[in-house]
Amino acid sequence: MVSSVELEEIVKNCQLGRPEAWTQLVSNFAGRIFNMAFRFTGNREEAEDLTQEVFVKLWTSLPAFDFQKNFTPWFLTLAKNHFIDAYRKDKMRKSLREDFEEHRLSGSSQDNPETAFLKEENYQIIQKQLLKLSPEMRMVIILRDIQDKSYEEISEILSLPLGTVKSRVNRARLQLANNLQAIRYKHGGLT
Amino acid sequence: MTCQRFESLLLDYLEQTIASEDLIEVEKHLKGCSRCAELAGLMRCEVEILRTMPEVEPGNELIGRLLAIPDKQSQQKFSIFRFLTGFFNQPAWQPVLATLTVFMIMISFLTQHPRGRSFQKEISRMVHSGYSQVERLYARTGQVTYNVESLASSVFSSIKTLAPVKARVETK
Repeated sequence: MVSSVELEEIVKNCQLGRPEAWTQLVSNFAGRIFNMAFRFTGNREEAEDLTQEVFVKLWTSLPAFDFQKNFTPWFLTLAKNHFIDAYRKDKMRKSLREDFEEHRLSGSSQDNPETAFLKEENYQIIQKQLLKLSPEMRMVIILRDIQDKSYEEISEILSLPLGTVKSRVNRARLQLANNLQAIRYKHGGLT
Repeated sequence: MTCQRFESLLLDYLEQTIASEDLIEVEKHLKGCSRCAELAGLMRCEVEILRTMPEVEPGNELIGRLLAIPDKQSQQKFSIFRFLTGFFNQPAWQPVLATLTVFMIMISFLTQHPRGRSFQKEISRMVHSGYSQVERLYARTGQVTYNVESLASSVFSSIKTLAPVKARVETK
């Protein structure tokens, strides 16, 4: 993880068109943006497309980047806006919800096969339920619980007051818990 | 405490940022309400699963695509340039471009070639002489206007002097 000063230097070099700076930027953010997109869409191909689109947007927006702002929240805001816009444009809805990809997520290698299987099942249940939330609710869960951002950072990324962020996280978790409760009664979910 | 109040405090309760007086109330509620106790348990479990969700690695192919973005973008700019050159190379533009070429050759001849410069001087002399002729003509026009005005004033004064004479003759 690079410091904000180093990041600023990388962005300046990118603006000057230095290819090694772009490589550094990609290696620092590709994983984060791809994970965010994957959790948002639940589909690897969609996530790859979204990640590429976000980086194209980043490349075209970089010359106008205001150095008064902090780069990471600025970039995550750009990504978040793109994901929600793409969702609204109905780009990915076709593959969401009903057609959740049976993507194999590797559990910890220390787990025995049974534990790994149960964990895997839990991840899939949670991911499926995550996709049932509204894009705004899903985004706060991704930022808070998956990406482990502080409420202050989320507040900056979403441009919302701290109190609103907290209540949104609470409501999103409640919705998720209510959905899980409903599944538990129906099929017996979360082991 | 109502279930609704409990739900609003759930985030602070699970993140252990709840005020001590609220904590007593929440724990009391949890003992009496099985639905809320189950919800709190599920929420704790859900947050735990979300936090331990494994990271998904972006593939090498995606990384390659991301690294190629600057080149692709500059190629797209180049294709716009190619579109413009293709547009102006269309046969419909040929007479226009030929005229422009002749015009440019004439301008370069006039400004750069020694003969062109003398030709330019000749044109300049002609323009200046034409201009001075126009000025002279304009001056003459001014003279004519002056003459007409003085003639008119003399005619007018003659009429004025003639009028009393005519009146005297009539009275006689």
